[in-house]
Amino acid sequence: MTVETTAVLKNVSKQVGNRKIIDGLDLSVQKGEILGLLGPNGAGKTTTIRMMVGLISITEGDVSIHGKSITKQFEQAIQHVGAIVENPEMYKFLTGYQNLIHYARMSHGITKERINEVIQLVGLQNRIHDKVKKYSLGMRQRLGVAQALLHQPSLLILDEPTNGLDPAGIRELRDYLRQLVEKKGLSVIVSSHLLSEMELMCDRVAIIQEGKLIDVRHIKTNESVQQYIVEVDDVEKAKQAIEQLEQEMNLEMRKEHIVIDMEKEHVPAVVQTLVQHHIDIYSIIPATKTLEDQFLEVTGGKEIV
Amino acid sequence: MFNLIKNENMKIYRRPRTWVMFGILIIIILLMSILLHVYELDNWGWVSPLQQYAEAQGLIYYENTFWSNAYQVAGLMSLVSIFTIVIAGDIVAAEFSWGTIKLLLIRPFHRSKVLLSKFIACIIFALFMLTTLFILSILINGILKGFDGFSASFLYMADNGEVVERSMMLQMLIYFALSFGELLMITSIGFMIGTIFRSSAMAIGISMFIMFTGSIISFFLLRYDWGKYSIFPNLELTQYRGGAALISNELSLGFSLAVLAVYFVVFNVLSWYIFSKRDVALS
Ligand SMILES: Nc1ncnc2c1ncn2[C@@H]1O[C@H](COP(=O)(O)OP(=O)(O)OP(=O)(O)O)[C@@H](O)[C@H]1O
Ligand SMILES: [Mg+2]
Repeated sequence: MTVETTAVLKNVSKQVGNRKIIDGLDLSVQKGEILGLLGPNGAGKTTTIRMMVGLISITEGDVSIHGKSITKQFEQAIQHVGAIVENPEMYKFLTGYQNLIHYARMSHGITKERINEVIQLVGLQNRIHDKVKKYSLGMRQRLGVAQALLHQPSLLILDEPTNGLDPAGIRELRDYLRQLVEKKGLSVIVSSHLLSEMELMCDRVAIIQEGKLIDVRHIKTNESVQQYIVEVDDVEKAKQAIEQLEQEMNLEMRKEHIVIDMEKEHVPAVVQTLVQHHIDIYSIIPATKTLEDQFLEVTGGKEIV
Repeated sequence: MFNLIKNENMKIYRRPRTWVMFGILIIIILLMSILLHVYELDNWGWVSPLQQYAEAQGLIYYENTFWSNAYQVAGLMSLVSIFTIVIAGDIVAAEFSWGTIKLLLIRPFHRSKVLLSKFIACIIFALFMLTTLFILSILINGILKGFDGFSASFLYMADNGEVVERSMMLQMLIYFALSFGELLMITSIGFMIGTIFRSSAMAIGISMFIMFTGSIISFFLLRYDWGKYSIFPNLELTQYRGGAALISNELSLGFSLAVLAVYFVVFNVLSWYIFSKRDVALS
């Protein structure tokens, strides 16, 4: 089975002054997947997106979309892309509808029907003829999504699209993105601070920190590590006992329990060892590590740079 | 490309301030015309040499008709310049301050096309205002004073001392063309500063400063040999409407046009280069 690649970032770097904001990023997005960009504030998510859509120059490396370089064949590359970069700023003195007309004129073959369809989709039909200055943040975000979808792009890039949306709005967006991906084979890149949100929305998540790609994880294939919280009478003794097993598992000691990262198959062995060492077990609770925990673990919960 | 211009026009004419500018222009044209009509200058029977010449030749001299006031009201061209500066200085800078530049530049158009469409929209605005000014000044003064003497003549003294005669209608057209040339330069200046500094206030401020202090600076610069090659003495093209330059006898219309053409190219190439290369949002 061949996987079609929509966009490729090849060894992309961005330098401002002597600072490398983005450092040798390699990443690709497949047809029909939602890729998340995850990283703490200032990690370089927005900068990466800006390079992908040609808003800023690329110091080193290249981005290609459907095989066209964003720097050398800008017009051909960008026509496949719909995007929101940071906040969805619109012309405030125009109505939502006039804003959409504005963007519709900049692509080929967008009919009135298509505009109306998109308006329905983002649920703005009642307010579309109001001036944008009267919109709430969430409404502007919806209009932002509408302008990004207008020309039926095959790559959708959304920088923090859930920012400002209410829970119902987030849910709608998520469902809609999923539909687009499955029915039309779109590729989507989203960046977000809502880690749990990424888990629900994405197929893969690329974790970025200080401009470097740290890890790419699949969400749906459940690579998430199982974790067991074992409540025992003597934490120190339990730790020694388990370490004698010489299995690769991560241990974490708390006051009255011990947290073990391990596969399900290892649970009986651990229990046996503990019993053999006369350690009393009060409870064993399985817990799935969320992406959030993994994320904090990988990035070390570092402060913003 | 046509669609891009349509968009720029929408963004200009959907803003109330544009119509406020037109409102102000129309009100001032009306006021000035009425004042000129009511308080007509009394020249105590003094007849200028050109007027004597016209009478001798059996021509209708324009100063004796409504054209006189119309010609003066058309001098409100400086007001049109101010409004054009506001539009030109703002049209690029505002997209940056609104943040809309990001969505504008991720469409399948090279940045040079986006910039060109903005420039063209400014020129259209300038033409629109200028046309309003000229048509209204003729119309209102004609209505106030009557259109008698529509075929009046404009006379001026050429360098060689000969009197040149042309129809007043043609003279108005020449005035219009010279004004337009001036607006083209002013647009380029405002446009360039707005593109470089991404600040409307700065673009509007600097351009107005150049416009208003231009003649003072000219006097200083013209003391030097190279002074006439600077933009200041040449910018005011309308000074040639009555023949020679008022400011210095070294200047001529052809010379000024050539100098301005060079500045025009330099300014716009600079705008284009900076706009095309700029990192949007990373300074
Ligand atoms: N104009 C600028 N000049 C220099 N450095 C900048 C500029 N803008 C951003 N940076 C730096 O680039 C880095 C990445 O910023 P970026 O906006 O891409 O982060 P981000 O991941 O989108 O963060 P957030 O989650 O806060 O949106 C930051 O360290 C920031 O300080
Ligand atoms: Mg960001």
